Amino acid sequence: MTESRRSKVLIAEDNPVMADVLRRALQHAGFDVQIANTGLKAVEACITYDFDAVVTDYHMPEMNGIEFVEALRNGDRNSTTPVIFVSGKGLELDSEMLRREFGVRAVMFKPFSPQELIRSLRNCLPHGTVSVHTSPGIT
Amino acid sequence: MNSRASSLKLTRRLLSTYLLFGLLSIVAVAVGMAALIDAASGNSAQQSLLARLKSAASEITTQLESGDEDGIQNAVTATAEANDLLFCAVIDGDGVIRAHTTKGFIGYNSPVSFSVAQFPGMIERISYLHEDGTGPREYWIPLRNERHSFGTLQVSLPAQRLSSGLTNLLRQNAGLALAFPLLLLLAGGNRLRRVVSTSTVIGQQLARLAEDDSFSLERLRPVEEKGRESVGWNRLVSRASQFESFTSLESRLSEVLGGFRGERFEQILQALTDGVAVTDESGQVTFANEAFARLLERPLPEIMGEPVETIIPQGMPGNVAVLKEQTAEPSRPGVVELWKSDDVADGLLRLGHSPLLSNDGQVRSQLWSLRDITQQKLIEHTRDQFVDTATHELRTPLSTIKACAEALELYDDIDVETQKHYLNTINNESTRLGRFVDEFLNISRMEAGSLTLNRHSTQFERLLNEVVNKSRPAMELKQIEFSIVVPPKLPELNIDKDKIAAAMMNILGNAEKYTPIGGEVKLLAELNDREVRVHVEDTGPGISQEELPRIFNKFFRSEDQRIREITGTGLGLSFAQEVLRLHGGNLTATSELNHGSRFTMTLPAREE
Repeated sequence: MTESRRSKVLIAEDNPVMADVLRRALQHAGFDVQIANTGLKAVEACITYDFDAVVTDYHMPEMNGIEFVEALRNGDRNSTTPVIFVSGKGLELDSEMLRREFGVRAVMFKPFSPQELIRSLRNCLPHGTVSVHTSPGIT
Repeated sequence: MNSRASSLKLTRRLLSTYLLFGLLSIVAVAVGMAALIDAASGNSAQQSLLARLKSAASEITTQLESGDEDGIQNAVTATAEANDLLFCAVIDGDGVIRAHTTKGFIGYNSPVSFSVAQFPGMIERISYLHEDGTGPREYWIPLRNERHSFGTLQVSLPAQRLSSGLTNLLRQNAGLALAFPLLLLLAGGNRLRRVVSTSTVIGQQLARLAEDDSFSLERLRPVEEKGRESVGWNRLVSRASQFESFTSLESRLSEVLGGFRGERFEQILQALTDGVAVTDESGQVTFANEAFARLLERPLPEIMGEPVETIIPQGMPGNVAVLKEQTAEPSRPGVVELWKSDDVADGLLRLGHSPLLSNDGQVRSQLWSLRDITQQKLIEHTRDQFVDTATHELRTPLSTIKACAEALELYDDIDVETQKHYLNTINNESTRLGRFVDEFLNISRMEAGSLTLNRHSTQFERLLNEVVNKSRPAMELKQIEFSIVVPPKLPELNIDKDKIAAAMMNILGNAEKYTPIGGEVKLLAELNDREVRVHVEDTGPGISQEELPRIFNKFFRSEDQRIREITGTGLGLSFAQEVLRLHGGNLTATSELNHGSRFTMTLPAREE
C-alpha cells in the first residue's frame, strides 16, 4: 500500500516465445513489462517511456543489443537506466567492456533461468522502487 | 738494418772463432818449444844420477876413513843395487881394486886406472858402443876428504838409461808440439765449417726464393739445429709451411663450397614455394627467388635493386608504415602481415625479415621471407566464426527450452493453449538442437571422407512433397508466399532419401530464413532425359559476386549484416553440395544482391 507504482521494465527480445515467457515471469514477480522485438523498436520505446530497468538480448534484427545500449546511453531519456544484457554468444562478448563503457549492470549468458533474471533485476533497482507485492486494481 | 746487424754478427763470430783457434795454436806451439828447450838443456836424469853417485861416494869415503873393509864392500854393493849399476868398484891410489860388486876382482889391479883424485869433478867415459849407439857407460868419481885421497869410485851403467829418458821426452814433446796445434786447427776448421754451413744452406734457399717465382714456401727446408740462426730459420719454415697448407686448404674448401653456393643453393632457393629475398645495406634487393616475385605479382627483374617498401602491396596504407617501423631497428627480426585490401579474401601475405650478420658481427643485410597466408587466415577466420555461431546455435534453443520449462513448472495460471505452445516450442527447439548435432556430425564425416550413401529406389515426387510439407509451417509463420511447380510425372531415383531430404531442407530452410516477412520462395522441378533439376528461388538479400564462390565452403558465413543477424552454422550448403556430389549431381547458385538467390540441385535420372 505504501508503494503504488510497479517497476517498469523493457524487454528487448526477438524470439516471441522467449519474450512471452519472460513477460509472464516478470509480471508474476510484480514488474510492469513492455516488449520490443527488434532493436529499433526498443529505441523507440526508450524515447517514449521512462523505464526503471532494461533487459536486452544481444542478437536482434535491425539493431543488435550493443547498438541499442549505445543509443540508449546517448539519448535523453533512460540514459542512466540500469541495463541487463542477455547473450547467446560465447567468449566473443566482452562483458567487462559492456560494464565499463555502457554501465551494463549484469551480463547473463544463455541458457539462463527467468528466475535468475528477476534476481538480477531486483539487485539493480533502488530498494524503494521494487514492488514485489503487487497492488491489485492498478493497471 | 736487421740483415746488416746479423751479417755483422756472423762476421764477428767467424772472426772470433778464427782468432780463438789461432791463439790456441800459437800457445800450443810456444808450450811445445819450451818443453823441447827444457828437454835439450835440462838433462835432469843424468843430474840426479850423478848427485846420487856423489852422495854414495861420500858415504864410501867415510867407510874408507875408518878402514872398515866390510863396510866399504857393503856400501859398494848397496850403491850398485840402489842405482841398478852394471858394476861398482873402489880403486885405491895404487890402482888396486879394494872393493867390487864382483868380490873375486878384489886385490887385483884395475885394468883401466886413472887417478882423478886431484880433480874436483868426475870422469865420464864410454867403454863400449853398440851399433844402435847404446852401450855401458862408466863414471869415475874421486873418493877423498879434506886431508886425504883414497882413490876412485868406478861405476858402470847401461847408456840408454841415461839417454832413453832424454830422447823419449824429446820425441814426445816434439810430436805434441806439432800435433796439438794441428788438432786445434782441425777442430777450429770443423767448428768454422759448421758455423758457415748453416748460413750457406739458408742462403741457398733464400737465393732460390729470389730467383724462382714459382718457388713455393712449402719447399723451404729446415736446417740442422745449430745455433740460434738455425732455430730461427726452422721456426720461419714451419710457420711458412703451416700458412701454406692453411691457404691451400682454404682455397680447396672455398672451391668446394663455392660450387655448392653457386649452383645448389640457387636451385634450392628457386625451388622454394616461399619467397626469399636479400637486401643490402641500402635496403635494395640484391637477391630474390621466383616465388618472391610471383607472390608480389611482379616480374623478377623488376624487383631487383628496389627497396622492399616500394615492391610490397600498397593496397593497405598501413603496410609500409608498419614495415618501416619494424625495420627501423635492423638487428631485430620481425613479421608484417601485408593486406592487399581490407578483405582477407583478396590476399594476405606474411613478410618476415631477419638480420644477416656479416663477419664483423654487424648487420649489413636483411633476409626476407614471404608466404601467402590467405587460406590460413580464411580458415582461422571461418573457424572463429563457427565457434561463435555454434555457441549461439546451442545456447539459444537451450535458453528457450529452459525458459518454457520453468514457466510451465512455476505458473499455474497459464491457459492450456499457451501451455501447448510452450511444449511445442520445447519440442521444436530440441529438434533444432538435434539437427545441429546431425549437421555437425555430417560435416565431421565429410571431413573424414566417411560420408556414405544408403541408396534405395525412391519416389522423387513423394520425397519432394515431404520436404515441402515440412518447411511450409515456417514459411507461413513469416507470411512467405511459397509456390511449388512440379512436372506431372517424376521418375523413381536410386538415392539416399534421408540425405537428399536433408540437403533440400537446408536449401529451403535457408530460403525461408533469409527471405524477409512477406517475401516469396519458389520451388521448381525440371526433368529431361538425363537429369532431374530442382530450383529454389527466394527474394532474400542475395549474395554478392565476391562472396558467391565461397558460399559452399565449410563454416563460411556472409559478412553482410542482414545475413549475420540470422544465425547459421555455415555448414548447411557445404553439406548439401557434398551430398549431391556423392550422388553424381551437383549444387550451384546464382544470385543478385538485394534481389534474391537461386539454388539449383541437379541429380542424374535413374540409369535404365
